[in-house]
Amino acid sequence: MTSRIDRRAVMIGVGAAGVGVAALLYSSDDGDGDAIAATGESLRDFRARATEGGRVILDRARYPTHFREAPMLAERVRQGQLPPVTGRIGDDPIVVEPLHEIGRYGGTLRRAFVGPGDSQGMTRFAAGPDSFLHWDHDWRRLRPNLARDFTISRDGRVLTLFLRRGMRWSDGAPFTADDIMFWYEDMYLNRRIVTAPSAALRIGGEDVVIRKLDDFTVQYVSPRPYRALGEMLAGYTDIGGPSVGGRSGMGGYAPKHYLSHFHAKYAEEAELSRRARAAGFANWSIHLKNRNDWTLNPELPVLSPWRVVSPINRQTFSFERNPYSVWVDTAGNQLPYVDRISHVLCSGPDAVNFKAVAGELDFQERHLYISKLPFLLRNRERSGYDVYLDPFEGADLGVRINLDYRDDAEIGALLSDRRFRRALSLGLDRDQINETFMLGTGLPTAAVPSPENKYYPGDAWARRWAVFDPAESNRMLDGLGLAERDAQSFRQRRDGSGRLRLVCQAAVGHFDYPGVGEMLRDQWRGIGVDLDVQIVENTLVAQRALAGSIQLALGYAGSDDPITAPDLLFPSTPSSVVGATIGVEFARWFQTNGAAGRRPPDEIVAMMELWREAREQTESGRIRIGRELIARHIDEVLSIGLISGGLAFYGIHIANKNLTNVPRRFRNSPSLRSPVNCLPLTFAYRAPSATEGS
Amino acid sequence: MGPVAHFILRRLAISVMTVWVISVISFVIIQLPPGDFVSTYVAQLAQAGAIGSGDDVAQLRADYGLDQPIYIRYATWLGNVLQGDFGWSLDWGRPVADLIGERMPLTLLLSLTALFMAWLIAFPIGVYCAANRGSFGDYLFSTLGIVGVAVPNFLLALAALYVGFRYFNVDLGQIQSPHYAEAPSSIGKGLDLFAHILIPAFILAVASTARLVRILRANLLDELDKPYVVTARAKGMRELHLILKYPTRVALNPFVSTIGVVLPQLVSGSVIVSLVLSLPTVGPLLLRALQAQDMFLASTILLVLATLTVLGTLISDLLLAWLDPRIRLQT
Repeated sequence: MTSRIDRRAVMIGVGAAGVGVAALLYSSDDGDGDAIAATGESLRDFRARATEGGRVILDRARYPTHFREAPMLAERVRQGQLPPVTGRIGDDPIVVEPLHEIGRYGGTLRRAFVGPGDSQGMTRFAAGPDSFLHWDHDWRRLRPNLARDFTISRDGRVLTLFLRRGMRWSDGAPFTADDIMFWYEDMYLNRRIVTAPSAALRIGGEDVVIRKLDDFTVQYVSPRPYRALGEMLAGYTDIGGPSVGGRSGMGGYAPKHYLSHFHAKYAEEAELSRRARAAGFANWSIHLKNRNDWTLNPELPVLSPWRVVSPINRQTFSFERNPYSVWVDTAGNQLPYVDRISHVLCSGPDAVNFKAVAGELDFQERHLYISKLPFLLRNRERSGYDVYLDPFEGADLGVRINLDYRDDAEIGALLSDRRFRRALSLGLDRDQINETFMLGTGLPTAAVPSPENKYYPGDAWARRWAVFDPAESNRMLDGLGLAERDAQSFRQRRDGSGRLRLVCQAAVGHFDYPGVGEMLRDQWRGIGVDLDVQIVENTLVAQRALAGSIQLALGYAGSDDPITAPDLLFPSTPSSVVGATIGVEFARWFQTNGAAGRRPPDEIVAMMELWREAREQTESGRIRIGRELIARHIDEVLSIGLISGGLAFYGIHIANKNLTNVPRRFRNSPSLRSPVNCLPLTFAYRAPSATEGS
Repeated sequence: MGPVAHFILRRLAISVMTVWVISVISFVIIQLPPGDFVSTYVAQLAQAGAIGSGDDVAQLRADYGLDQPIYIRYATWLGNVLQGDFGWSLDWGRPVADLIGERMPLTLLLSLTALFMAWLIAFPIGVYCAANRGSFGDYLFSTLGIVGVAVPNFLLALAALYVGFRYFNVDLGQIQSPHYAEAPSSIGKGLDLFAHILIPAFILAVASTARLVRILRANLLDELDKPYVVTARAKGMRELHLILKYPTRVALNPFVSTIGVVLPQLVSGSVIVSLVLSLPTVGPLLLRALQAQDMFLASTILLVLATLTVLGTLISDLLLAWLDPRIRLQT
């Protein structure tokens, strides 16, 4: 009845079909090799392209006199739910000139996020910026932002901020100096909320005092000259706006009329504790900090152009325009142009890249992998987006070195010896790393900022101890008493307990650190140094860093902003992962002025003193010392820089082709909170977008 | 008390004990790795940007009760669970029950669809293969079945994702059409969701379909040569009617005993596929909770899984006991 067919023949047939499908899938991936070169025109010269962005206008002659608002707000004004636009923007709106054109209102901007810890995506996009001062988009001049103006006294000890009259929180309550004083007196100085003073409000080991002159003027009074304070107010710091620091009680200002309901000074403590516990928090101070987290609390009044409507711990994380936004364009249109921002929750960066390629995102700069660049480029036309490159300001990739490693005396002694660190650095072929992991787009250098950066110390320093010279490296290692080798030609430890083996942490993250680690291992084999690469989850690296138990770790290195972000330049910040990696006890010593922690070696103490001095100096002095600090970092090889100015650190952004005022390259640095420095509130849809009206 | 009631009670008591032991073990295991939620939290804060000096680690630990000995933390947690309070997810800053609750409908929909799809496909194929042993169709389905078991479903998901995108211009990770995403619930929205869930469900169903086909075919083959089948055939019963009416019913027994495995899989079976397709189900939530040492969330999900496993085993035990007197008599 049944015809018997050879089982083997069927198997072979199915197998062949499978191979065929696989080959088909694979063949369509051809041509990745030289993706950037192949696209020719725009991307190859990305480094020569100027950075772009919207600008804050200070020339009062260009200020608009008539103001307009988005249709969705005009409707609410007609219904009597909102005061007219002139009453909402106040007397001194921030006037912004968009990059290309005056935009049209409307639409929803689609983005992606990877979980409740991914708040930076919005802090660096929708927050405004929400600092009193901010850099212009190309990092040249410090500009007033939420503050109307500022002055620094001749002796550098008093910074005066002038606030915008009639500016309002997103719920319509007036913003005044009281909101700064509430933050300063009741949050920052309250040790129940902020347990240790911030480096941003300390100078020469003493505290900066904030005082109110009138409703729209406050002064920051320092015991010593503190000329870098303006930069601190503009940077990624504790006083750079509540979108960054609010969740830990920092920020520099806070909505008194709202948060005082959660504060023990203004309400019965027992009642507050009861409410905190009912809401799931251990005490009122944690509850207050939670309420002050704009990504978690839709009720929190903000000054940012958008406010949260669906918090970050939901499936979609979304924002809607703030009706009291203080920003207007040069034609008098209240900003932002785009009504809403909606984030889809992705299970990880791979999913973000996929959604980008599928044309489901309108603007995305986070979590786009450099290894996905060919894939992103190939699908531009069909999915209707453009790809742009934004080389990082600092050293994207380097080996962080724990300068205070204690768990193994022999390894600790070697890592704290500059000759050993220099030898390790000379044993690495940076060109190979650049070609393999960066598609050749980075600069193979020591831990320098990129050449455009004002702290770039010069080409000689970029190459210092950063050329591939295995002969010299071997000679130096032999000279350290490490000449003895085992059968596999690996060097032996000086204490006679076997092979010299270093351990490097490679976090699983937005870059192929494990792959780089494997290449380091191969390269260091050439100088007889054995490397064990530990592939670990990001948070675990962080825990080990804070415990001081890391030897080497892969990540960005050095600093592109030595004055406000010295974390990796020398041990300075025990509470940050990156800072803790390179010597957590040294950093503690620095932070507590020697009261706790361990005193670092003299050459590092000298760097710390230089940094303190820099904060008192004018900008030219700060730049001079900043370069000096970077040069010393490189000469000491406090970290082994591998690649700088590359695309590994959020160096790729995509934008819907219908979106206008999008920069083709932005200045990419955490200090600028890029891309917020380009003023994303000026992004607008040209034609009615697919998602509009949904 | 009759022997049946005695049997059921005994089983119930063992089940409760098992769940309790599992809850202790899972609570302890989650806390075994060095560090705790606060160190993870501080590490995350520290990563987000150098801000963190506002939070004192010891203070945070005391505030969250993490400085207490583990047995006190366990007792507190269990006491709350018994009152229906599953605690607070430290990572998401929301009640655990809400987090699991909002993902449960999609998780169950996905898994149940996959389950029924597997049964619907496996049953006719299994019967066909057994009845037509050695035919081209049998070999074809057997080969496909072996491939289906061998290919990991995440690989299938990746391939489907790629093919869907490359040739059909659809994102399989999108479980709702954009215009429905923020719309209120409606029949249209439900149908739209169901349509989007079919392919992920199929990917999930492939392996179990293949496995069921193999089991059904093997069991049925054992039965087909038995004298009662020969007798029925000799008496002139129609072949299809015969197979479906007698040997197939006997061969279905293993389906019953797999219920114990099926129940927890409804909740957690889709972890990797959900990760690949970025679907908002419970699986990725569990993975993330374990990575972040979000102990109450992780413990609760594990407890739910354990309870479902034990419950499933209990149900299949009872069903088998009902079907087969020999099992009852053993007690």
